[in-house]
Amino acid sequence: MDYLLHIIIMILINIVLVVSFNILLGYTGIFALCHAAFYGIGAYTTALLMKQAGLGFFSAMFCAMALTALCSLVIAIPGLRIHWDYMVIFAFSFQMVVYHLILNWMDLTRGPQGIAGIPAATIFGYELISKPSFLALCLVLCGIVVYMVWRFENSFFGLVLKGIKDDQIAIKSIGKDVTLHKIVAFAVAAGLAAVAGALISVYICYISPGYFDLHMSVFIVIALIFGGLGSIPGAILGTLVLTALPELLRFIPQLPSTMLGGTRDLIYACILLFFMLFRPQGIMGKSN
Amino acid sequence: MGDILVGKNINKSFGGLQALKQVDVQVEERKITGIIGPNGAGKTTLFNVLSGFIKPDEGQVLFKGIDITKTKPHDIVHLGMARSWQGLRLFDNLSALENIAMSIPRRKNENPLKLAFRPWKKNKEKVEKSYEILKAIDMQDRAERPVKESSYAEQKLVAIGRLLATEAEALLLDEPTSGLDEKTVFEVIVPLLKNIVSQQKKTIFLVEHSIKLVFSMCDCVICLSEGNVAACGDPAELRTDDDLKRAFFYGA
Repeated sequence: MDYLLHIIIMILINIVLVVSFNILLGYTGIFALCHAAFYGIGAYTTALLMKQAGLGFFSAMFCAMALTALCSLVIAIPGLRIHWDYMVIFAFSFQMVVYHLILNWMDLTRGPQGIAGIPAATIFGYELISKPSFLALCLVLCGIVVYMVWRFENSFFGLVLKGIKDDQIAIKSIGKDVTLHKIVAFAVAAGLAAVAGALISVYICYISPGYFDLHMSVFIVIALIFGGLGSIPGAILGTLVLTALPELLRFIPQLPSTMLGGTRDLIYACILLFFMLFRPQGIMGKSN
Repeated sequence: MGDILVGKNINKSFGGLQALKQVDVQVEERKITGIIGPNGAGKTTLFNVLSGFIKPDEGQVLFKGIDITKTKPHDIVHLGMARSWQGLRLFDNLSALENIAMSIPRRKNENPLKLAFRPWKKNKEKVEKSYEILKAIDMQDRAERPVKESSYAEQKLVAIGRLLATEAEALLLDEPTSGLDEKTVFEVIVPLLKNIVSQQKKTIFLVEHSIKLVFSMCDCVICLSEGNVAACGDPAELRTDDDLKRAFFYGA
């Protein structure tokens, strides 16, 4: 039972990531392969603020959201001046820089040892240690994030983002500032990714750089492409399947546990290739 | 009425090709001004310079007396001048309603948070305004359909609708009638544009290839040839000039 709850919690945390990433790749068409970096900044900020500064979960999470949104400007402002194709490389570099900062900034992050002993989240003095209570917190926060992204998508702002994906020059000619809209899209997506970071840090009470490496960014991209670009139900479905699928591999007795990671990556690669070739809009995305 | 848009001494080169050579243009307020000329004369380049998408090498663009030569295109729209495109550049995956609604500018008292986190359909004022525009272009029954599924003529109308939605007082239209049959042009587009000027008190500046249309609609014509202004003035007067007739009004 605990195992099942664990998987559901991981699915919910991943949904926060993929749905927020949908703002960038799904609506605006910005291929920023660095979402795990935002996830990591959010997680480390929450962990350090709770452990070192003694902040409560929610105040730490809000600070993490603000700081991550601020960090996203580091990539958004210079990155959006370059052509979209180069943006991929730029974002990739940002992912690598953040990962190596986390890995090597020993004084702050304790490097590869990670941060252990992060306090559990508390609400009104009640510690959310048990899995069901933490699941409830995840459900509420994930629900809020999905709802916010839905509102964002259907707002005037969201319309402009979709317009940017179609034609940036046309957006300028109707009097909208393309750069400003992209920067805000980045900040919102990064801020929401920090929510997932906050959740993971208090869930396992331990974080290490490995959670936030390039694999995670690639996972987020694949889950979104699988489910369908620009579709919230698609993003949720994609996350659900791609998070649960590797867990099913554990039940194949012939597969030694050392090969689980490799097999998982192989499956992800095949899924990505298949969808790119035969159904680029994903399962639930609208075809272009 | 005075000139709302003035281009002074505009030069623009692309590599070795000089697309605009000391071009002077004036567009009078609340009038329809047409610009004609053969392919490659520099009509679209002139439009790109006036609307801020290309910066001129030399010269000055004044809109309502304000120097907008270095102003960004979206800021020019805020000042009150918007343009359409020869290639339409609609947001193909969005509906006609969405194309128009999103082009309506932000109201001064509008909360940015509401703009970003409130479903746009809940903004009654803007939705009603969008339907008004859709009615003006006779597209209200196809409002919710993605524009890529509409016919070319309908897309052209949506492009004009989108321009109206920006609430700009000066509209630059790049070939609003190209690719349309004469019936549609004279029964739909021409009355619509005339109405925009007479009822809504806007100024129209358009690039046009159809001489017949220019004569039937424009108050003033600018003839552009190889980057030079060859002539400008009242179309009826220009028509009597034999040289111009040979060069520009072929077949008129």
